[in-house]
Amino acid sequence: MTTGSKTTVDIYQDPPLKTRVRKAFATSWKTLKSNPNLMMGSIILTVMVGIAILTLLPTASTVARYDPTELAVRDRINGPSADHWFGTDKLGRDVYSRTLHGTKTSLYVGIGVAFIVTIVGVSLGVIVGYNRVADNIVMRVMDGMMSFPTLILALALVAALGSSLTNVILIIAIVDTPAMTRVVRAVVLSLRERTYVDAARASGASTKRILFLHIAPNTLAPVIIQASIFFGGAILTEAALGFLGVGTPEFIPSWGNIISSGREFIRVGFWIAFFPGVFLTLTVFAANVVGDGLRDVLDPRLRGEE
Amino acid sequence: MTAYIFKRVLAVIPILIFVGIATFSLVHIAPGDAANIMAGDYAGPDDVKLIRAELGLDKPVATQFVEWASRTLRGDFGKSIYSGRTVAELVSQRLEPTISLTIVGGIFAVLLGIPLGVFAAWRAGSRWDRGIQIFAAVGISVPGFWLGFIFILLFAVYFRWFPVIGYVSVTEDFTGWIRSITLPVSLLAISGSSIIIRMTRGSILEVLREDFIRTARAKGLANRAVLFRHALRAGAIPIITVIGMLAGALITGVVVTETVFTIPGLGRLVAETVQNRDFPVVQSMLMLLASFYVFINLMVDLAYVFFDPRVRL
Repeated sequence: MTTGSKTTVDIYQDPPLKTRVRKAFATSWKTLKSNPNLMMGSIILTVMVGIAILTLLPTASTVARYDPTELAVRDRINGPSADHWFGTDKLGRDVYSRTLHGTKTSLYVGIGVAFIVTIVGVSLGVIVGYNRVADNIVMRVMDGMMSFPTLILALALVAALGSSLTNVILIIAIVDTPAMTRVVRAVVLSLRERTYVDAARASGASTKRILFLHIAPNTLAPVIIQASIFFGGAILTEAALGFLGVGTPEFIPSWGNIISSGREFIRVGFWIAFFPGVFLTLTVFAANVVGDGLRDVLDPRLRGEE
Repeated sequence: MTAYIFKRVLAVIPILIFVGIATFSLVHIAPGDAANIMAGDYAGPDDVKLIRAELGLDKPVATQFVEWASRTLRGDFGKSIYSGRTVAELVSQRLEPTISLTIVGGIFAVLLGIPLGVFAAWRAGSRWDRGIQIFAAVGISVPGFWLGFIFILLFAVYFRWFPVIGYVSVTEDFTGWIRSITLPVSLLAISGSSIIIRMTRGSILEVLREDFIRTARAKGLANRAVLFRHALRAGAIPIITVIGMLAGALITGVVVTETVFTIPGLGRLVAETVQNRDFPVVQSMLMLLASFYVFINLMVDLAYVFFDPRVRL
């Protein structure tokens, strides 16, 4: 991860925190500027995070303009207008407000899943990469889990566990964990043969120290790439479950369940499903583009090529 | 080579056992009582008792598992709690639409994905490459159910080129069949080919960096010969892997696609029975689809033997 010769100086004396932070910002900014896709994806995601935060705060009503659950039966299924930018749904609820509040749900799912999968996947991957016995047991279970097509496994778990927001997050995380574990394991297997690990062992470092101080940090790049892909994938899966009518319950607006509720009104109220779909597609697209961009930036094999 | 094939086929057994145990456990990880959940909010204690007996939930877990496993192995998947019909009956009725969609969708995904992926890698960095990559990035990002909604809105409601919903059997009316599967198949082909494009492009790009490609060029081979005789053959292995991934994507895609277009296939069956928490059918579908997926991946692994001489050793 270190670049150039400056890092050799850092070992002797850390520059003050302010300089380091400034330097980190400068490097990130340079990376973003050199990779327009990464820039675009980051901007979209930042906007979505902004929307989510604004709808969480007491400012929600000024941004979203309406209460997402406020019924106005007289105004049901009205097209987009100056009053209701994205129209209204079958109960007269403002689709713009519901879509904006749905951002929160989707990001909550995406971040939650990425976080859980990273923690569990890295821990398991590091352990099985270093321990034959654990490897045999854990990886057989992971292989078994991966023999289910992902959405089917998620659906079956929803049938068994029920579909609260927490369950949806947990279920998607369970389904995604084997893939993350595999990635981390593969990296650990190649890292443990490196000379610097031998050097650490020769200087008397314990296995625990080597694992968590020398190996785990070096799995960071592939883990970040995977996590960004799982983030987008989780948002997509949550929406798919919502669309199939078994996802996040309807009293919590989510892009998936808004689209689902608009499906039957395709002839008379296309806007109900259309607008949340645009938000959903943009967000997942941004997550994937950021994942690809990070791969280009972080994968040293590709770095020299461009 | 025989030893490898034998080993790989044997490796399927523990995986299927795991699939079986996981599927069986489904009813038992349900919080509270699965029979209660299935009976719904308005059921009396007698209804719950009936369902419990029907599922065998009143017996010890070990007995239940042995009974369930032996029934399943004999091909008896039980009955739907909801409609009372046997799973075999439900599946056979709904098989045709799903097979039509996945086979036609899969063929188009491959026919579209592999050439575009190879071309993008061959012209890496060009405007064509960028265009194809954007198509693939959008293809994996856009949710199938939303794109399906747009398709219906545009091509069925507005232009009236295709029926809005439903499925026409191929034996009944061939042109009707084509009209009824065009939109759903396009959906599956777009998402499927996007995955294939990304994988193909990556693996061909990697191959094109190899020394033997430089050697082939250095000895004066034409571009076309380098691509078709050297790069494609070496790049074929990761591409075969994609066919396994495609199977997974199609199974997932078919659940969503059949729901969008209200096609009475297996995917719709899965979605409906999950909504109704019709456990015997959910379990059977889970078992069937997972076995199918395992089988496809076995075939993929065996295909390596023929394409990659290194595996044969």
